[in-house]
Amino acid sequence: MDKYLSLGAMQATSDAGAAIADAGIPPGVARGGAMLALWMAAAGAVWFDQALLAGGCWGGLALAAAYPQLREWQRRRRNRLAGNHSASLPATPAEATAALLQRLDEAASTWTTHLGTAQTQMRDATEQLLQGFGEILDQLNTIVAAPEQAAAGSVDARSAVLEQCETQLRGLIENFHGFVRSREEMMGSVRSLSGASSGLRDMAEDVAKLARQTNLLSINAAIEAARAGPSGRGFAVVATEVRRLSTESGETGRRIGERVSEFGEHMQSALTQAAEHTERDARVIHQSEQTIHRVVGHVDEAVTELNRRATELGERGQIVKVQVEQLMVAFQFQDRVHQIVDQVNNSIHSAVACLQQALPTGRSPQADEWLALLSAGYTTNEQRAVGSKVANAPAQAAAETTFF
Amino acid sequence: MAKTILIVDDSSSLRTVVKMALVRAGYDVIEAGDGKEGLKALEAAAKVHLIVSDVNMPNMDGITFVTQVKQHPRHKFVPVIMLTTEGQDAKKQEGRAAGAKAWMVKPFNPPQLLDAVSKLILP
Repeated sequence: MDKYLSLGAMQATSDAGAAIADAGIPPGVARGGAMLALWMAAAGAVWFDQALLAGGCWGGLALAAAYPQLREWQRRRRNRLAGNHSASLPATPAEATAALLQRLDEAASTWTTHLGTAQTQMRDATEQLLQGFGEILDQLNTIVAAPEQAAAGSVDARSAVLEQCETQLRGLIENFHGFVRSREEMMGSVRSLSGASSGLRDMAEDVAKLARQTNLLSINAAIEAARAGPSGRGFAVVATEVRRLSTESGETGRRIGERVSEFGEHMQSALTQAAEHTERDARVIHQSEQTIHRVVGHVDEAVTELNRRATELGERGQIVKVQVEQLMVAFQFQDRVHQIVDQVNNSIHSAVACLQQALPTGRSPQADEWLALLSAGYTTNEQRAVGSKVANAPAQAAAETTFF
Repeated sequence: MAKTILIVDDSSSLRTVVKMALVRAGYDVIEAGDGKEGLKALEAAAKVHLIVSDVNMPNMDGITFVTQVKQHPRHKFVPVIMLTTEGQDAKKQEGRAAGAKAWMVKPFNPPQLLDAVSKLILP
């Protein structure tokens, strides 16, 4: 019975193994699986428990033996699924090592190329930025220098210009004052004339009075001539003529008085108008002076404001200039980054060369040798901090100068 | 007449920054990209009053450059400030032995550089 059972199980195992092999499972794994299946079939036999234990052990060993092949089978299967039918395995460990070194060399070459590209791009970009900042700085120097020069003499220059403007405008007002004074003088003469016309009027009145008295005298003379009779006839003629003359004189005196009065009225009217004009001119001149004062004040305020803004712009420009300079100084980081990347670049080449020597011999580099190789060419404290396992070392701060 | 300072550094950006600080302070500046260029620039210049040099440079490093400057009969008295990322004492001693007068670690502050320059520059 046992024999038939064993034969049956072996047949089943063989069939299962063939089926697995058909499925593409490698022979080693198929053999391991078949052995496990054999012992599992024996589990139904009399010595079930012992067989199960022993079968588990043998199955584990068989699978362990087949594990590398299983991994390879998995890889091939993945490749097949991915359509990569060209993947091939090296025939010997030496070939595998050579292939590995080749891949490592390719990787190192790729990494260093990328690092070089990054360095070039960073260097070019930094130079462009620095050039741009330099041009901004030049422009700022021009902008900031102008207000500085203006501010140096701004107060004096402003007062001088304003004083000049005010003097010139006040000169115009002074001219007006001159006109008014001239008119005042002229009006003084007119007033004198007006006074003289008053004297003329009195004189005309005196003439009229003399005429009236002469008329009375001629009347008396005519009376006396009439009383004298024929001997006074000639005297009567004289008296008549005197009377006519006195009448004419009176008339002339009256006309003189009228003319003098008219003249006086005209003079008074002219004086009144002149006084009104003088008052109006004084008001206009006063207003003009106030306007000039106000305009000069406004100009002063405007110029002061412009100066203030120019000074403020200059100060802000100075601040921006200092900031740009600080930014430019901060670009020193590029030099440090360049050196760090350079060292990484060299380190990759050195590490690959070391591994190329070490791998064929099967000996890995010693830890201290490896560390020395990786840290060769360190220049910054940040790099050395990595070597000494100090995490997140701060970037180098500006140090004191060492004088020798 | 403005005094002349030679800047030797392989990083053009750093040369730009150093130049900016020195020119603002009223100095004339000559630039060189490594030690070899630095020696040529010294030969070509009428008079150099001070040198600011990097240490790690291609073609000719800063220590070699300073050593050669100090062996030159015409330039051996020109003071040299080393401006470098190297902060190790061993490197500083190399610079001192080569003939440098001061060692300044990058990043530098412009006032700090100008202070060192004013202390060391030839009359």
